[in-house]
Amino acid sequence: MATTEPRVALDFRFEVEVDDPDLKHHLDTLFASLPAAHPEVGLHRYTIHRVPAAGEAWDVLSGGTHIDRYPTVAGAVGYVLWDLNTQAIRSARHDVVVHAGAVSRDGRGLLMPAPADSGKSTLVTTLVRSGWAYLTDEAAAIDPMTGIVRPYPKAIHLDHGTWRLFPDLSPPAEHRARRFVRGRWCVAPAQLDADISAPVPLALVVFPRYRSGVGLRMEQLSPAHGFTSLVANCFRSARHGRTGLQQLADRLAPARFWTLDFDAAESACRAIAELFHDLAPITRKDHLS
Amino acid sequence: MTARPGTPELIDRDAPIPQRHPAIAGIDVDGERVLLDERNGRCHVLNPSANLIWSCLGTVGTVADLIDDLAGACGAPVETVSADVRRALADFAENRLLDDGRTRPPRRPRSHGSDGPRYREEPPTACMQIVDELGWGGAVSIDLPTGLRLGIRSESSATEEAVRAIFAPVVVDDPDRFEPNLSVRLEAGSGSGVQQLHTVYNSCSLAVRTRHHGRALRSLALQAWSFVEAEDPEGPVLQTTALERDGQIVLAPRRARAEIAMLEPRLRRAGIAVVDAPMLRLEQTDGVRVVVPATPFAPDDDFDAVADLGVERPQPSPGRYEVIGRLLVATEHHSDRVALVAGGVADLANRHHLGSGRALEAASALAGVPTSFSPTWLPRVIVESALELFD
Repeated sequence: MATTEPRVALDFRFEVEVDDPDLKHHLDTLFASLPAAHPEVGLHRYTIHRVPAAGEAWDVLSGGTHIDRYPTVAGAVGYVLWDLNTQAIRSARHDVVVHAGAVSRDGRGLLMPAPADSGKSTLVTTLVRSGWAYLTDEAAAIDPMTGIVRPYPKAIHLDHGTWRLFPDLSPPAEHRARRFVRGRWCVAPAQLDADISAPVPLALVVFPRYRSGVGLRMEQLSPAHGFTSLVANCFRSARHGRTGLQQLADRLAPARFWTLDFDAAESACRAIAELFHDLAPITRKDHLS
Repeated sequence: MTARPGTPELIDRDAPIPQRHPAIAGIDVDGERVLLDERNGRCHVLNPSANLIWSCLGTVGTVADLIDDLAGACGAPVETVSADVRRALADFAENRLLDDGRTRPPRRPRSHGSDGPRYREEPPTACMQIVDELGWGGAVSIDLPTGLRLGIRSESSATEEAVRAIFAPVVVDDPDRFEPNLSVRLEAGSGSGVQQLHTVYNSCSLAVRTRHHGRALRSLALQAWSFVEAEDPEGPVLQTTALERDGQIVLAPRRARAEIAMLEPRLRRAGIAVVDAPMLRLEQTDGVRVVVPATPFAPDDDFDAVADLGVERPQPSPGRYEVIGRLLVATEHHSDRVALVAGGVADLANRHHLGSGRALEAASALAGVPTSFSPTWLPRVIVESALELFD
């Protein structure tokens, strides 16, 4: 058995024990952008191991508890990545965690909250490839006391419908990691040559929605409507209560809110870049003073 | 939330003005009111007229009184206001924002009969948790004249003794309960020559941060007394952050106190004191005035001597002060009168003890005060906006 490098996903510290060196290499590659965790401090351990004498079957354990037996290693890996993401979101107790993609440029953050299948990961991938720094493609953790969003640079998940946009990100057919992936590509940030963003204040919030044939439609929202839409995309928003959400509203006061309906990622990202460029600069000193 | 088409006739004009559901909280976003349903985390945006109507819910009177008072305050025909009120109330009811009388009972009901003490619950919010984690030692319960019982916690036994001394006449033995409403830290000297800052928290909001022991204790006394002021059934009482110079007052949002406290030295250099009293009675005779209260709780600490040395601004003495300006944190497109009046009603701490007419009258007077807008909560911008009002 071998164990991946200990990592921290938001505030969740973990490692994965596997009995396949190729799988360890694959997971270490996916997790490489997450901060390293101290190996001796409270790590949660996942285990993926092949079941002897059971044909092609893989057991998954989480914290020593048997979770399930999967007929493929891809299924076992898929569960671990899903649970890891869930635990990471739960771990950020003091943050408001928004279901959103996020990137940054010049020390200012762009948040794209949206439900699944709205195009978050597609936009994040496109923006990162054009030079934006990567924060997350799934869960943006915002400190309500400061309005600062911190990075959760997990591997970007690209669903089948987006593969044609990024053919170069396809795992090669002969690649040994191919058997660990099913149904979606997991793209390590390093594969995009992505810079990982430092924690940044939010300057722009765009609510993307992919709609075939719509072209490009944008509409600015009032701060109240924008904030309401943001909260609608929060994980467990009720947990923060009035005080936490009021603090968040106050800290997001400099941010601008837009809706974005699009059918082409390139033109959507150009429009976002123009919006971002037109914003008044917010210095970090201003934000925290 | 916008009113639905049609005018429901389900609202009885003679019915009492509905109460808000206790799980609904107002959040200010750039001068607009968003309602947060704490049961499920959902938010609702109110349009300006719905916001004004919402701000009046819970005041004393009937729906008919509310309609008449709103028509008077807005200068609008009664028929128009009546339709707006009926639509808004129907919308609130449909979204389960009103107290239908079936809400859960308070977690800690009156424990000693109908005249026994009441307690103020502090919700376990993330920000309260942060203050909780600062580390606290002793605790004191006090019984206010209104029957409200408060918990005051402190970081050390020495501070607890100081708290007991201030509140000696109203300290009660209350071993079965401790829920902190106020928290005070009086820092001992570090021995390094660096003067520590004493802090007082009301719930998880910073009430004062000062280098002066006596001011921290006075502020604590004023915070406690503000709970009495908030239940005054007579005149409107404003929850606010007030700045004073030469007997004149500028009012800022209550929530801006922490931001203003950060730049208090700059205000002090401009001759401005941050008033420690968090609630001020509002008077509308002879212009708009506020009354800085006196409390029966007096710390035995000569803060005035420190103020006289010029290292601290003296606090304004109890009495009446002219209001020369009002600072709001919002962009100026929220400067329309309806929004200003709605905000004014929302700022009244004792709204539930007043009729809608008196609440709207007070808020209308406030709306007539020269107003400056700070577009952000950045302390620097807030303070600069306040200074403009004085100048």
